[in-house]
Amino acid sequence: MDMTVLVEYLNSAIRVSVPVILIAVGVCYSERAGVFAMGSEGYMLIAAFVSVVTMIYTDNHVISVLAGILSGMAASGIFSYFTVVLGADQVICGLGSNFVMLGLTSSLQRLLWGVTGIPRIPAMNAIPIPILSDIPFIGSMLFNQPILTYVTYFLIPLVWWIMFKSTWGLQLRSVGENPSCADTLGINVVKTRILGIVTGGAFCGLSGAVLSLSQVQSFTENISGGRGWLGLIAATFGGWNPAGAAGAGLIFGAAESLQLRLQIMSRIHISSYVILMIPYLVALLFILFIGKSRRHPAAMGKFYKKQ
Amino acid sequence: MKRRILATIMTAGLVLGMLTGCGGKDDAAQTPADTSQPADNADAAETPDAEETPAESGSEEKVKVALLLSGSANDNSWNQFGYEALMKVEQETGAEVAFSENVATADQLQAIRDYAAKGYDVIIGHGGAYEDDMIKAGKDFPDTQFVIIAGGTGAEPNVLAVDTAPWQYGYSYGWVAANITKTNKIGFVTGMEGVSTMNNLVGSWRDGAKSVNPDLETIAVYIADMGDVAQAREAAMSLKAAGCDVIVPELNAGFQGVVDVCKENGIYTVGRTEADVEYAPEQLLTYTVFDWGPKYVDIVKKYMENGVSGGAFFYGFHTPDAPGFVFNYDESNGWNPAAVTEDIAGKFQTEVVDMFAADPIRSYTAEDAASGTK
Repeated sequence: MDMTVLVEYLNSAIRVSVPVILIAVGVCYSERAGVFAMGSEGYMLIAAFVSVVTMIYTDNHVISVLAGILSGMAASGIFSYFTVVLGADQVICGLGSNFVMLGLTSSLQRLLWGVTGIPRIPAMNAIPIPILSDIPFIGSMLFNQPILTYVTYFLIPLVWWIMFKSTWGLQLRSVGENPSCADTLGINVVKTRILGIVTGGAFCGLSGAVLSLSQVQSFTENISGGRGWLGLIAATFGGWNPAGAAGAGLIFGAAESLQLRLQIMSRIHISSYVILMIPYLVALLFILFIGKSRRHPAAMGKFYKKQ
Repeated sequence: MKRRILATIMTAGLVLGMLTGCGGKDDAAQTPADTSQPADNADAAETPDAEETPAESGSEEKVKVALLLSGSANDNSWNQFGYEALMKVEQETGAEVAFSENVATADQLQAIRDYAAKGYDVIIGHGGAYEDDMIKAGKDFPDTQFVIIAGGTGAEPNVLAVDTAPWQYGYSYGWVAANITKTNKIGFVTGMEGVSTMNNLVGSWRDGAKSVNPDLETIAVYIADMGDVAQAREAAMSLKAAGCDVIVPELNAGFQGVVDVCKENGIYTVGRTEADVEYAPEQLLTYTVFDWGPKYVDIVKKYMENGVSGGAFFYGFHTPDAPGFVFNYDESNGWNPAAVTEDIAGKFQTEVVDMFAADPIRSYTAEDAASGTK
């Protein structure tokens, strides 16, 4: 295989996997705190919508990305109230939240722009980093990406450090493992869980902004297209470790990019439907072989009521 | 106690928001009740029980026409054409209309049967994927006219497959692309591999291209979701990486993704609306106007006059009075004059248009349209 083709493929794999990686990282925070993050798909969707609308009205990428992040935080904040404070079932709330976000974004889109759909917004093109992007092979692969990909490179070690090396990260994890023990040590379980969920929502929000501002440059109904679910799976394979989750997300992105290139390269005809299954087959294989050995945070999914 | 009240209020608020979002009616006077619903809602067969269409002067039983869309009525592409055509039917024939959108493939048959059971006279499925289910339902409701837009063969006596001779415009795209490509590699992005319309479209595109240059490489990529702009973008980017300098999209909302990539990379493409030419005038070769409106009206009027009909019917170069499709670039040109020179345009008339006017019908197989490079 041609070197340039390989490099281009890897470049695309990274670009495509960024939204899934960001959601996976967000899910880690929420689930480490002990709360299922089923609503991730919905937070991504509302953030994608809000960032595009903000971009149309402000023409400023930074404000739009921030707006996306904030909307993800707000949506997950509402979810956190129902689950952590009121004790509603986390899975059902998360799924319900997804439906609400889908209906809300679709309806708002029509309300604001009628049948014609949302206008296009200026692209966030790939920005090659001087010097670094000239490194053969790695340069084109890693350093010729849209700016939000670079932000993601920076975020992954940061969030890993916060989760495993900071005090707050320790509190977060303890609340997910053994909340009553954490409670006796004076940690506010409810507050910590809410913070974990909202942090997760912020990442889902960033992911939505990446998708709509950087990749699609518009908003279409149900633009998230199942990436939230892939993020959830990636977090599980990554052992709820942001670095592992990012790795798993990258593998999904690589699989998705691969299926397109396979179609182009195949001289023997394999049905596109079979090739399109590849990313999901990868997910299934992961579940079969690695998923079992992953132990989830002990108190995940359980409502904690202060005694 | 306070928590319970607050929780109840918040829940009520969310539910209210959800209800207003689904099934809301437009402010405009003449609209059918909106049956839009989230894409993964299994119950696609909700038909409106309250119509806002004002009663026409006739006291006759109005013809009832139903439309099923697999995507959103505002996708700025395929499904929107169907929706707008339905509105034309309502205006010009006075029929009572209804539509369902985002109908999942698994729910199609049920949705069709529901409309038929509720007494709808003409049920239109906007897309070739409806063919099998329409034929199944057609057996049980012999007096109902079932119509598949972009269908394949239909079935006697009451299942009509209507299309705009996809092999004619597919061939046109391939022929033009082969004439202007510099890299001798051209690409196609679409979905629904194996559906007969797609076989005809992609197969004829390859045929048209090879008729000009048999050594040309024609690469077809099928994506999973015709509405996914991000996937369409990536497909176009992978074709660009493979060296294509002309990429033809045939998608729903995903169309935009391909046009964007072509604009960013100076690759030729085709569009669906005038807005596409305004957006990327150098890269657009043409935009193809299908205007399903007159054809929908033609179909409904045929039913009103003659009753049910079956089989296949095609509009194209050979039906100049009801053109299947029209290539537009600007007021004086059908194709981008910078790319498609007068010489090429002249040859197009004789080698393509006249050829099809004389010999309009042909078909291609799934093998002709297979994904990958040929």
